[in-house]
Amino acid sequence: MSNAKKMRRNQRIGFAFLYAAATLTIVVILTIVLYIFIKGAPYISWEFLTSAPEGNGTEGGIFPMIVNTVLLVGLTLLFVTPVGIGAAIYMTEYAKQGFWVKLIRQATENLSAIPSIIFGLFGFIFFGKVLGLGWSLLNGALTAAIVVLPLIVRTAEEAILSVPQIYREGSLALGASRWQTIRKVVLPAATPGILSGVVLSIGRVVGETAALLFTLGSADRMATSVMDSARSLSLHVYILAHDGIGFDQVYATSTVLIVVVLILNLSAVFLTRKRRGQ
Amino acid sequence: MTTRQKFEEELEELQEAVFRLGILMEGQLENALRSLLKQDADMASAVLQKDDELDQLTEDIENKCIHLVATQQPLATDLRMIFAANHMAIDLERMGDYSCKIAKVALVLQGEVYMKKLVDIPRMGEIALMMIDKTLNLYMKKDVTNLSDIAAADDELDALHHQILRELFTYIAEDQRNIKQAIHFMFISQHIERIGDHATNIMEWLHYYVTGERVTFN
Amino acid sequence: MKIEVKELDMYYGDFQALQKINLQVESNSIMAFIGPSGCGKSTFLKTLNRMNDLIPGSRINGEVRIDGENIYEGDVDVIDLRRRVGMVFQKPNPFPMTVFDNIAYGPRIHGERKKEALEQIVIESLEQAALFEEVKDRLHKSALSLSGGQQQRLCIARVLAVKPEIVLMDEPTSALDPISTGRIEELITELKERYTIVIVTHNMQQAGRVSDRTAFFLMGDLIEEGDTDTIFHTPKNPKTEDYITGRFG
Repeated sequence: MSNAKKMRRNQRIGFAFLYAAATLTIVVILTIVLYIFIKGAPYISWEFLTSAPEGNGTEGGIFPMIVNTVLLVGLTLLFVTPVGIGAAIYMTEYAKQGFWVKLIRQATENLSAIPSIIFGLFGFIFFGKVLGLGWSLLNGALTAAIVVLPLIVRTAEEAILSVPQIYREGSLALGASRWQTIRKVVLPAATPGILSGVVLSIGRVVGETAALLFTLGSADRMATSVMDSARSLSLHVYILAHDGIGFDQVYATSTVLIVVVLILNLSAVFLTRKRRGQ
Repeated sequence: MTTRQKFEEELEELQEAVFRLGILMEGQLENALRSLLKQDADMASAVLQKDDELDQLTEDIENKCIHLVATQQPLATDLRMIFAANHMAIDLERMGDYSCKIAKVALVLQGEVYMKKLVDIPRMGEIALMMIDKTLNLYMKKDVTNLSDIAAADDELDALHHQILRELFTYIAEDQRNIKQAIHFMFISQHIERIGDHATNIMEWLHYYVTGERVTFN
Repeated sequence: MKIEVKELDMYYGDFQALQKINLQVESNSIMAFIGPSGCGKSTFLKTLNRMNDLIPGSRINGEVRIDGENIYEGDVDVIDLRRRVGMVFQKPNPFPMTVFDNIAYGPRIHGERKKEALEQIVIESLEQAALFEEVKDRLHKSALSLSGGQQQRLCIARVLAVKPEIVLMDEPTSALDPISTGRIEELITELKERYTIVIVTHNMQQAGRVSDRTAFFLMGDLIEEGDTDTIFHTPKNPKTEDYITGRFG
């Protein structure tokens, strides 16, 4: 076979392989999603979304869990965004790029690699027992905050670093201080990137199960204080499935979860594209 | 190879063109004077014909200068050199015209016997040729030492010119039939004196080109 | 004398970028810095508004005096210095904000809050930068939607909005097309009436067109400084002659 023919044949084989891999990936994802949707969608109704569960969750709705999830996300963001963005600003704008910054960055990377169940155990022991928070929204939020901290720091850092240096120079040359430059030029320019990081974190928190298992609690009522135990959507799926009951609710709740996470991810993508368009 | 190789070559060509024009002009003056002294009509005609060559070369030099300014943005010495070359070419071309006028007189006086032997006019011619020749050499060497000494020869030309005028006046006074030749010879003397002035102009441009200073030599 | 520099040495760590620079710039004049890449002219420009301070390891010996006061003395307010000595960069760098906000940025930073005052400043600055007519209907649109030449004039207006005394320009037109370049050069010659201008340029003809005096730098040394006509017509130093006639090896 001539050389050119051999090259074409090999190329076709390669393409076929890649095509198959891509198709397989899509098929797997679609199968999971469609399976859940088909099983769960029939049980989703306005009542389902707005009423409380009955009979240990085998009947009724998931409204309290939705509220709890929203509260959980809000509280988590309250803790993690100032700390995460602050750390990112410090590491990119103020710190001397040397040993310590590298160390902190390495530590952040390592944090993101730890299995979330470990965070859950840590939260159970430290927040729950040592600090006496028990099973509560507060405990869950603090634990979730640690889980998504690396994500926030990393995306914020990236967003800040991608702000062109000439903006900073232009601002400083006008007589602005470092802090004014960060507040008025760098952060606003980095906002889309930071925001997309926040949105991804929300998705992470909504889907988090292992870290919340021992910290959030499992009360299926709407939380009225931060010290209340409060089951989230993902925990609801886990608990029902674990107990082997209310499978209709399981599929329906899972459907809701998937839809929520999908919307969040698409928003993150949209925000990133908006930043690039600038 | 330096940067601006092509530009350097063009500048050298320009310099050589001016030098060639100068040599041509020297030849014209020499031949015109000789044709006058020897009363050689053919030589005189040849001088008149060759003037076209001078004019063409002058035009070429001017065009070259314009081209270099437009395309090369010359500065400092380059700029001064180009401007000097342009001016010098114009001076040389006028000197050529004067030589032609001398040759024309040679033709007009064909067949006549000169009323006197020409002595001072050839003397003036020698001085003028010396001035031009030395200046051209200094031009090629880009050297302006002793330029003022050469320029001083112009004073001699002026002195000789006045002397010739005085002498010719006496000839006219003695015999009115001498008027025709006397007047022609007076003009020739003046032409050579003008040639001397143009030569000092050329020296002034040379000085400007090399040092950047403007001086007056006449 | 607006600016007086005495025996200035400048180091980046161990590397000496400038050697024994002595230079003066008169008020309301335009001084051009020329020289090959890496000769120190931009570095020197940045010593005049202490933008070099941002580079770790940079230090100077000698004096830089503006209106008689040494700007490197311990108690100098660098923030105010940078307001008084403005800078326009090589690549136009408008902030990703509206035209209005870009120009108002400087005044706001320095404490101006009143809406009418800010509007007044914005309009004046745009007029001084010969840009107002072109953007008056787009003041609240993004500055990034302007053309390159307009963006650079915007940056100039932005600097003028803080009412500086000196304007430093680091190759302000090297990223622009010839027509925009011409417009900005005209603008620079007009600005001379109210400001003292120092401009770094690669373009010899630009220095010739725009400046009153020119300084030639080579490898961190100031080789020759003088009246622009003289420098370009009869430079004294053969190195200057070699550079401006392009005979640089």
